[in-house]
Amino acid sequence: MIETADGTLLVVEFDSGRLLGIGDGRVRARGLRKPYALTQSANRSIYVVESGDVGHPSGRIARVAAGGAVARLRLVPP
Amino acid sequence: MSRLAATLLLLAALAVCSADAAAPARIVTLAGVPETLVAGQAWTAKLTVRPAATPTLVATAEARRLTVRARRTGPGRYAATVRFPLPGAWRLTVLAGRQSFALGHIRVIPSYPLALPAQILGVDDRSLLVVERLGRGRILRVDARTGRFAVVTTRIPSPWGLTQDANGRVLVSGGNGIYELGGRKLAAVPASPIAAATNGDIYFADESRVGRIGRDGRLETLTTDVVAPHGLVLRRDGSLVVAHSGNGRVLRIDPATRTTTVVTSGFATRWG
Repeated sequence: MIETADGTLLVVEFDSGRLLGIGDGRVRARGLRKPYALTQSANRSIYVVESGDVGHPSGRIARVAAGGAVARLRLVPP
Repeated sequence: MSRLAATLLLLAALAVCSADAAAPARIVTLAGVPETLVAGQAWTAKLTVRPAATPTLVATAEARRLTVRARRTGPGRYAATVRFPLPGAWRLTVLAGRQSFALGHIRVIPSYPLALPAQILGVDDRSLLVVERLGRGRILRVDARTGRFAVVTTRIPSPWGLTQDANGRVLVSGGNGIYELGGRKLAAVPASPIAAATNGDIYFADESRVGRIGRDGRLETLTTDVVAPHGLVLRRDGSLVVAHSGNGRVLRIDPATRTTTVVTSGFATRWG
């Protein structure tokens, strides 16, 4: 859960894969896969960690655009 | 040894049979195959060639072909560093002493899989901190533009939560307490989500309570009316908001009076 720069509280729903506003209940994004936590970066982009499976590493980071489009980061080890 | 590495070694041995009969019998083996190899990641193949001959590693996938001349690292031992630009199954071949040795295929995946990530924190325009669990127990710094990451620390036991205080200091919660990112322990209070106030207080939640650790180290319980609290936000108006993943409820707490108000409830799914 986060408070955005404009004071809105946002949460992610693990089971439904939605990003929601608390209060207005408006759906900001759908299609997240087991979202677990979120943050807003200094440039106001929203990033969500998707937990993946308990049995084996399969988590991702998704970036949610202002319009609700979801794109996943391609993570590259050093 | 991974199944993939074993397969590659077997193929290397079989490759001897397909070599030119007039040339000296030569064996090429490959080591250093990681469990996970990601497109764009540098990988160093460790090659052994007997009798010695400087090898060239060739990787092909569809129309792509990479050729890397190996460097000698010891008697009969060589290393070739390669970056696969695209995911997929890449066929590996070694050229050594005018012979060709098929080493099988190596699978390159598009993105590194995180181990049950618990929290994420944007610390500036470009960097994200991520807590990994599931046996890794570490914190990564991810470049949000390129996706490249580095391990920041593995020193914090069972890390879970992240927050940043007014001075930009990153705090980490875990199974043994609350720490600075550098590893210094600030409080011996196991916690999940945490939030830092501008006055230096730290708010936290665990499975049974929401509490506050004062600048002087004093511990206070604000409420025990919680069910698996997962999200914790200290709002700019000074109120504390807690999302309960156990009952789909969001609770507002006034830290000064410890009064609680249900902000919303009735959601059937877990919240973060």
